[in-house]
Amino acid sequence: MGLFQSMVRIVVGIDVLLLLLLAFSFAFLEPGTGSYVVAVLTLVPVCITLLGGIATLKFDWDPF
Amino acid sequence: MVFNNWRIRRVGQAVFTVWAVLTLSFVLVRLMPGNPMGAMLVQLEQSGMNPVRARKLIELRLSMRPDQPIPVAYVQYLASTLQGDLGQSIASGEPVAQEIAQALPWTLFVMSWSLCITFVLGVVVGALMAYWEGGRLDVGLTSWAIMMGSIPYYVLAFLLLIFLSYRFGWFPTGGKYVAETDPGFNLPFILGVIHHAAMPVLSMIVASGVTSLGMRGNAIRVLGSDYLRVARLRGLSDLTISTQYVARNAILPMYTTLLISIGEMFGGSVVLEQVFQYKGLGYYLYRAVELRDYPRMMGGFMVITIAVVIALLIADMTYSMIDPRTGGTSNEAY
Repeated sequence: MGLFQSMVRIVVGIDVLLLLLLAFSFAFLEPGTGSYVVAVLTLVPVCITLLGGIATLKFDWDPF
Repeated sequence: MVFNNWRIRRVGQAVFTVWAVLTLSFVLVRLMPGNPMGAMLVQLEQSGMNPVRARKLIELRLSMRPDQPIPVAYVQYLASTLQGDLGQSIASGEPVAQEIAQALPWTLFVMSWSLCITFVLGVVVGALMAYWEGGRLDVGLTSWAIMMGSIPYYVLAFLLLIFLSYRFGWFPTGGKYVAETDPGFNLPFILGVIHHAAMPVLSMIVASGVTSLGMRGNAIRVLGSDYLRVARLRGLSDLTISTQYVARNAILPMYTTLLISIGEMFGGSVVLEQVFQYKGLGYYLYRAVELRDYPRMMGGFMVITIAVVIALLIADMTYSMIDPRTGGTSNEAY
């Protein structure tokens, strides 16, 4: 396991934490409000990096 | 079996930590001088209301009876919290859980970008500093990082506000978004959100210059290791050595440092959001302390506590995935 895989694991760990906090927020947010939009703006990169990280780890991809 | 027992014990420790912090917060909050009734009375009297009428209004508003004995109030609070009810804010009358849920995304937006940029910059810059140890770049960046790390983040925030916002007008002086825009998935609103979040993010990034120092120190420590000498003797390329051996081992302590810094960022957000009038979780927590709004204070403390405890739990549970030497047994990451 190289540097890239270690960094991906770190990113996945942080993404899990952010997802849990966002899940709490989404339970109370109303669509269309500013807070909802910001929650989605936060959620999108978190989900992208999380899915990308999981795929990287599953297929053991390391560009270096 | 040992592996599973350790994980169960670790989760139990996390639950105990959350309970201990909540209990301590509950007692300390109640022992603060003043009470919600006094704070509201002062505010109403300052606005010109008759003191007798103000007192009656507050008695009607307050349903939580802050004069209850602390043990009774504590048991009631724990019971309602376990049912998911964080109470109602004394200041606004709104459910605390809803207020926190609405404020939290703003803080998370700033925090997620700060974390990401701080981490990447810290690792890359720290690695470069270690690679050119003793050179002009290393000396310059080290001095910069020490200077930025020595200045309190709120002082940096004020400096950035004065120069970048008031003097040059590059960034807004406060707020979460442009007031004239309609909240929604439209470009003016989204750009306004990003523009307003830029200053708090910049303050957190600049104040976290010590991350690069940590990476530099770790990398220099690893550079002196025997296995690197063996790797060079084996004829491995510089790129392979630097990524697979040096950086990969130097980054291990950064993992827990990064997750612990989440707690520092939450704590920092209380003052930072006041400076930038950025109404996230930290701003509402500060206002709750000013108004002696017990339920909102406890709700804010609880969310921050749970976030930090979960961050450390993740660090512990997953450390063995990035460092196989720990073996995932009873070793903790910190």
